[in-house]
Amino acid sequence: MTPLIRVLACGAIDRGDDGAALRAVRALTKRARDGAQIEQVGYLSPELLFGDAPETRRLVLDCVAGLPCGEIIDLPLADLPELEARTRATSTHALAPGVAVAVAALLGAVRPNDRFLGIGGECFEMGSDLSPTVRAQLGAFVERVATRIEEAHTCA
Amino acid sequence: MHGTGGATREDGASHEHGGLHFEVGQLTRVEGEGSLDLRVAADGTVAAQLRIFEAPRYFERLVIGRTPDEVLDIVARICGICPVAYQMSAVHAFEDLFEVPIDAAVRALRRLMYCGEWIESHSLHIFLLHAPDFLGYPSALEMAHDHLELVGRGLAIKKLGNRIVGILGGRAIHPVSVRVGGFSRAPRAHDLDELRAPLQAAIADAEETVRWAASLDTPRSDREPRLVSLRHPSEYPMSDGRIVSSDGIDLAPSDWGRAFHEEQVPWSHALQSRAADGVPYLLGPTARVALAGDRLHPIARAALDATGISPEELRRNVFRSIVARSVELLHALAEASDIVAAYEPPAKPYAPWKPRAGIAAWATEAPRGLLFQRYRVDAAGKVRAAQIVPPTSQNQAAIEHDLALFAPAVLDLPHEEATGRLEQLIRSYDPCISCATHFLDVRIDRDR
Repeated sequence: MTPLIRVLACGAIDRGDDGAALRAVRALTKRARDGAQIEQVGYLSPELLFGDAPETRRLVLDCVAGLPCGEIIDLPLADLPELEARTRATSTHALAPGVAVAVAALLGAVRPNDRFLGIGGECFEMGSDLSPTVRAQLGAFVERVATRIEEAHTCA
Repeated sequence: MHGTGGATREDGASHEHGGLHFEVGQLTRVEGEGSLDLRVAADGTVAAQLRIFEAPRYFERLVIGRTPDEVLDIVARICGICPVAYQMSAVHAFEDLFEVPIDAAVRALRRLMYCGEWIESHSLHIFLLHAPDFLGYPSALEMAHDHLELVGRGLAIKKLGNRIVGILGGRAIHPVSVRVGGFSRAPRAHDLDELRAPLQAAIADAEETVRWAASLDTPRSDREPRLVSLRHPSEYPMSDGRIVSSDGIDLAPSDWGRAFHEEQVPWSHALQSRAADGVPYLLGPTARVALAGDRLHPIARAALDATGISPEELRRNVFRSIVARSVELLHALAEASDIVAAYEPPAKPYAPWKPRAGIAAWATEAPRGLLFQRYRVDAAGKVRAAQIVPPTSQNQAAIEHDLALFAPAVLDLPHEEATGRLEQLIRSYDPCISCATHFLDVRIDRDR
């Protein structure tokens, strides 16, 4: 069955705030999890946005270096490159998420309904836990993810 | 999107202590963070130091007290690009120690999974990380505006690699199905059917990619590297074979430590590896094609031969690594297609095994080169000591050596152009700084 919404959770669980998106999808209620196809993708790569049915929405979750720690940002996925430029965040990945989205957009793989939900992070050391600020905001982040999943069903 | 918030790339050159300080804020299009210092002496001698300052990641400590199957899950976390390689070196090491008989079909599935990882990793590097250097663009995005078909082709191939690893590993990133003795679950024959047609299409695309890579305008470079890879009697090296070198080393895959050693250098958190005589050595596609090119799939061999590039040119010009990588991409697709076509599920997805005390050690070929792991295991099968030697840390010394050789040819160019050439050279090794390093700043101090 075609999923109404794919949730692409980026990050590494063992790198402090970088694991916020993965922790968020684990904290979703069963109802929310059942309403989405949830994938842990490590880092965002353009081809992850290829090949979905036209009615499938995509929700990308990630921690954002360069945003104030704990700040939640919810924007069209197509705007991620602009956010990346504005925050002047530097990705340690070979392909920054904003570049991945921009390349996918050139190839027609980013749609108006695709969203990005991010949370600002400050601690990315291997083996570290979430920072206190991100931990305090995680519940709100989870709620926002659940809302977006619910919305996909409401609007279907 | 972990990283350094607010960090920006600051390029520039300045004089410092009578020398030229040449700095690039960060190297893009490599996985990880590090920096490069070039010091040019008054006599023109160049010394290069690849500074890897990513914090130690402690994986060799994290696996202590763990069972072999737990180790497989832990080492897969070392890298988001090459987790299969970490699992394969570890699982072969344990199976060798425990003398576990591996079903031929399971062995074929593991090669297929490894092919999937090579396809993912090589296509990412060729099309998105390295191609912009040759085509004159600062990033994959700028290049994509003008070469959309090329980028689309590369991403379609990469998606196929993701799919292969996903089918066999349970998921494309940090796969979970590999276990000592086999897989937790083997796919049914029809599970692999969906790969047949895409693999055929991708083979044709990869043949075109070899032609394209061979046609790229390449900077001149000349070196005579010591090459090291696995070599197998009948297969292109992945999980089995002996460790061989261009100057006569010939060792069992468990015996890496007999010819090579790790050493600490003051400028890097990652250990460097050298041969017993202290000379750097080169791993990866160029080494494998040079040392085991006669084991390439016939389709890949024919494509390489058709380029007209001599083995000497391929070996001596560091920038030709994109050709070797393209040939290996084609090889991995062709071999994957053969495995899928011949696949019959194993009677059991895994063989039983019993632990025993001893040393478990093995080397396999990660996309970037030889990956060696060694574990001391107790009678209960728990790990008591571990050594993990990734290919990028082994290549570090060779990168520094080649930078020192190449730098004099570019130091008189405008700063930006020189920096671009140096970055291009570093990217030729496809360094994975998450395995060994992250951002790269380039600094040149020149005595005048």
